[in-house]
Amino acid sequence: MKLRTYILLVCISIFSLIAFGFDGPKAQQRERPNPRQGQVILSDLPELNAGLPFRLETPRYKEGEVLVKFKPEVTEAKVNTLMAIYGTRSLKKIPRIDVHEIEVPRGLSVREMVALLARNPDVEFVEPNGVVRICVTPNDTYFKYQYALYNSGQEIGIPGSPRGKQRADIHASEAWEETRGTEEVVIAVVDSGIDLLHPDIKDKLKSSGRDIVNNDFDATDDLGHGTHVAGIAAAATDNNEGIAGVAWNCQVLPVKVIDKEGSGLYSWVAEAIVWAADNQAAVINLSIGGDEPSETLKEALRYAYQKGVVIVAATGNDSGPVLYPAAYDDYCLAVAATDYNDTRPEWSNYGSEVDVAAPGVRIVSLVPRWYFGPDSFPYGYGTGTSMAAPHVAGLAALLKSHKPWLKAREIMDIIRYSSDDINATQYPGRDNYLGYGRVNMEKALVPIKIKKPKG
Amino acid sequence: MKKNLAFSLGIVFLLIAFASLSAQTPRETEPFRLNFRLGLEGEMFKRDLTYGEDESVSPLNSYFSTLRLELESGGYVISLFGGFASSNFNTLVFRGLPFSIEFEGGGLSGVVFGAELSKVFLFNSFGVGGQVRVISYSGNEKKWAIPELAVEGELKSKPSWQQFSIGPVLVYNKYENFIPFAAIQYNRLSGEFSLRELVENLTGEEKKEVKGRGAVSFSLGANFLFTSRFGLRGEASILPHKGATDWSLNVRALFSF
Repeated sequence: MKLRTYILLVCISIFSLIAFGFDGPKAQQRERPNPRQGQVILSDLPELNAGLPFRLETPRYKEGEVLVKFKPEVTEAKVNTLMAIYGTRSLKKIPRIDVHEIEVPRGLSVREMVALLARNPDVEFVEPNGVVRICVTPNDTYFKYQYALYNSGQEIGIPGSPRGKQRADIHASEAWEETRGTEEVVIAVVDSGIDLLHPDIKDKLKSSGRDIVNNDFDATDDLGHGTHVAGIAAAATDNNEGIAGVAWNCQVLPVKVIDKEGSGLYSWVAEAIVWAADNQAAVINLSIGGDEPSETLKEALRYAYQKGVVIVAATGNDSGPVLYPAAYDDYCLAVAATDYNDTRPEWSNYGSEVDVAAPGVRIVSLVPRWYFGPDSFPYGYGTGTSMAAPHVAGLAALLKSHKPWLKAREIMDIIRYSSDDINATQYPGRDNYLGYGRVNMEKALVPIKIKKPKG
Repeated sequence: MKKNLAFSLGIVFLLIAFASLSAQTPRETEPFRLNFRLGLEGEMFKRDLTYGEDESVSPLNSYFSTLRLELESGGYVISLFGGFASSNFNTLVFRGLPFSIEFEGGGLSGVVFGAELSKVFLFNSFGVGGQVRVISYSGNEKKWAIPELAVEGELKSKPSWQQFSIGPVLVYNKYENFIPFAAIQYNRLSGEFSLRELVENLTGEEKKEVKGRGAVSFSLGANFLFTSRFGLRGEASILPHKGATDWSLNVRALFSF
């Protein structure tokens, strides 16, 4: 355990140095052009992590805690008696799904406590309190092109960068002709919070959200990840400033479950999902994931799903199996990543749970205003399935706006079936790498022409 | 619309009543006689349709060919007809399905049935009267593949429309084998187009209620009597409405028995 904690601390320190220590001072010293003057914004910032998606190493679960759900017939009084018998106490009960966060008594490991409680006939399930992590960190500040929305074959980055393949994008421009969404539809971004005063999203926020990490109602982002994710899904659009969000007119509800070090607990995520579902979210974006399966997460997902919420989750960036909650296929749309050439980056996680893919390489979006230092240009590049998922969440919000009668399952199916099978030559049909393919907003939203067959 | 219908009905009834009174005496002496005519009829028309809450406009192009039976007695003509039809409901947009559809499937075949009642009273070289006609088209159900989806998808289309027209007719009866006529009609067309969508486990059905734009048509036509037993009839109509003018052409060839 000590070794793991040590490794975690080292990783977090390295991450913090890279993310904040290196770039912040540099950014403060650099003169940045004013985007309002229509200048091309260039950046000589080095790419973090050699342009690869950042992979934060985290423990699989939190020590000293387990999650327990008692059977429905077990009364509160009996729960308290059981706690006393086991020499423990409930730290918190997640509302609606009635899962208790329980302290592990001194001298017992998490696994031992899980094994002990699992034998109790009053327990429906017990599991460790898993740890989710972000799947990416923004890594550059070159603002101009959003190839993911419309790929004209432009250079992806500073002059001399590789060029994208024409129309290797999600066909957003065509879809916006059909709908730009309504503000009644709310996308909950369950992440590290949002820079609530960022000029390119502040007017899109439904409220200051919920901070599960610090247990208050101010979901201010102290990491940067959530702001980037939220910008992709629904930055203020057509406002002569910054970037375009996929869901032009939809609102954003920040829910903070990732701390400033880039990780959070399953119990926080479960609570956030339930809270978002109870607070008018029509779509929940989860650009986070953990390695451990979890009944608690599943219960929360089921609760939201049954309330009609479309849940979109990133598959992860480890070249490995799909992370949780994305792996809960019945309730989540699991989103893998593609790049500006419509190919799969090797780090995008794969498995039978992958539903669709969306651009996730060098995606420009918002970063908190403090991220690169005072008065810096609050935009940057990010890479990872974290960036892919909010494209799909934005599409889900537009579908919900355009056809409010659709159920969550139907919206998920429309997104799946309207995708472009971009790797059909290699893997025709649905496959474990890109699922049904890269999402295509035009096919999902714009009327499909049915023509008289020729001949 | 209701005003137009009432106006047309009023004119028809007035004309028939006036003509009946004027022509009463000679008709009472006529012996009862039933004439049969059998023939073929073809009609094509273009009609703008409106549908949906936003009153979207879509053209309907239709043609039909029917077998027509006419029974005539005492100046009254009752006609029954039925046959095949094709109706082209181009550019109908369905946004109530899981995948929105813009239908441009071309002509959809089906069957058409109808009936017509007319009466003309003759006064020297002129005749006045009225006619009323109902037609009903029922298209065959047709399957369509939904293109470009990641999975196979299918649509089933089922169109139908009904047309009702009524109005006065003015006939010029001076020539022996050529009888021109003019008519004004209240003309109402309504219908329904349903699409059922099936994409894996996604299903949806949307029915579009369609309604013809405009309500009053103007027609000119003529009967050509080639022999005492064979004649041709042609009629051209226009139906002006806001922004456009719809039209129809009708031709009949009839043999008397």
